[in-house]
Amino acid sequence: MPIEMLKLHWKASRWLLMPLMLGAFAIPMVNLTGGPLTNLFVSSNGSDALMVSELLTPFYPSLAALCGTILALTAWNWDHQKGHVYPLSLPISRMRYSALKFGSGVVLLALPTAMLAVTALGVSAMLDLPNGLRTYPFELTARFFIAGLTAYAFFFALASGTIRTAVIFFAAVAGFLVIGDPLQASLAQFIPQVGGERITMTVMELLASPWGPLRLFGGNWMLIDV
Amino acid sequence: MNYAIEFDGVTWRPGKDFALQELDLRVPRGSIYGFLGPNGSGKTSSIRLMMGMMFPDSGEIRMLDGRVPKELPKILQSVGYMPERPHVFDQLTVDEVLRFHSSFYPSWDRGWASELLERLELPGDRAVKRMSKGQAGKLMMLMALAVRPKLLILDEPTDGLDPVVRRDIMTTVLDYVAEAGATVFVSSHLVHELERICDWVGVLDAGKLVAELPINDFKNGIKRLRFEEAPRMTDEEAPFALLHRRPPNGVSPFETWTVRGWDPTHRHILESQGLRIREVIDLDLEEGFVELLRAQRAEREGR
Repeated sequence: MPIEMLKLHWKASRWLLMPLMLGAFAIPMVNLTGGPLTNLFVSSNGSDALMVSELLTPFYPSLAALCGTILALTAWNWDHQKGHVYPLSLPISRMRYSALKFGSGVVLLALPTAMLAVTALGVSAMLDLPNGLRTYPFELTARFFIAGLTAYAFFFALASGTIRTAVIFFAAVAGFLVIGDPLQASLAQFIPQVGGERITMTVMELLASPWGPLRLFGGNWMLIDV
Repeated sequence: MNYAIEFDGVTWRPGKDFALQELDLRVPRGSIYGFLGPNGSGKTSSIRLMMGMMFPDSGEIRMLDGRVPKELPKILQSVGYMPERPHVFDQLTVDEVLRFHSSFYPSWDRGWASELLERLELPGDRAVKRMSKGQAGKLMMLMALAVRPKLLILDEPTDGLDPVVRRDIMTTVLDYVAEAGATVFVSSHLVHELERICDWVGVLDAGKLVAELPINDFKNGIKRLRFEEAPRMTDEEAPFALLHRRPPNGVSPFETWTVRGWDPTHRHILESQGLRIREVIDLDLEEGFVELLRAQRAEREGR
């Protein structure tokens, strides 16, 4: 059952996942052969290698988020097309079916992650870095997987519902961003305790706090660092 | 009696316009039960309720001695289901569909699935989306049968298919039933098709079960009576249910009654009251079905 679910998910996502796997292979390679950036890594003080690595920083979390999102959407796409009649007719609980589907996505997320790990390790082995600089292939890979998993889990939950549910969710978020602060200001006129920090900023800070899910996608995503 | 499917007072109201109302349904084990009703009467909704795809607002559903939806995964292992429209992922090939499907059923009969694949002339390497309607129908049937089900639930299995494919599908079902003694619950609005195969019939109209009985009782019990002269008998006095009463008109000089629950002894009862029956006409299932629905609708509309 899990193997068949994995095959199904692979078939649904392969054409979208393969370019992303290629991306997971290519991005760390830029540290070695980045076109006009070639040879930067051999600079005497290492500052250019560091700069290239820093330039690549936004690509890793974007790729991880994209992998997670694609896998989540393709997990449910075929089910939605047929109104979920087929899975609901199978002799398996809804919870177990969803768990199997989720599991297959996690396994497939391991493919771009493995690609990134192999390339990052290879690049690390090939680089001749000056003293004071080192590579972080394992840390980068682990972070990539966890970020991808976070995006996957979020969009998997969202995509499992109907389009109506997704629209309600995004409308609620947009509504909160648009009217959150003015509403807070209006309420503060009557209830002084409601005043203070802007509510949208507070929520964004919470999401980006060390325990917030967005924290994973920010910060330092460098293969080469001090 | 032992039932394969039981509905007890099941009510389901998805909106203002339609509701399944207090549905009491009993499908005897080993029977071929035809679930008749016009389009939009609630046949597919009833089937989706029994398959646990939707939950009733009230009432209880039992299938193969298990409660729906509580024991559904266990129950569905013994159920073969053929939906109204192909429901499988149509990007997969036939072989892929069968591999995926079989992984959920411990009772899947691989050998028989291969035999059916050959008998129904299904190309294993063809994607479902590239198959004709008839081929897709055959595939659904194969998937339902290779489970070796104790209960087959067929929702309009031959709707829109050509006569050859229809015959292939129904023959395959009947062969299986003859061999395995399974119960078949088949919904359709094609009455003449069910007439040949069913031994029980349930008639649904506007979400209400208006009749449920052995098909022979249904066929034998609905008659058209022609009287020499208009009988002076009220509906309540009649020993049967009067479905329709047509006074003499330009087409026929006789008063015509369509009745349900007719028994040959009723002729004597009527004649003992001075009524002269000119003719007792047998109706086939389709005519009986239409008369029954007409009477139900007239009653609903207060005519």
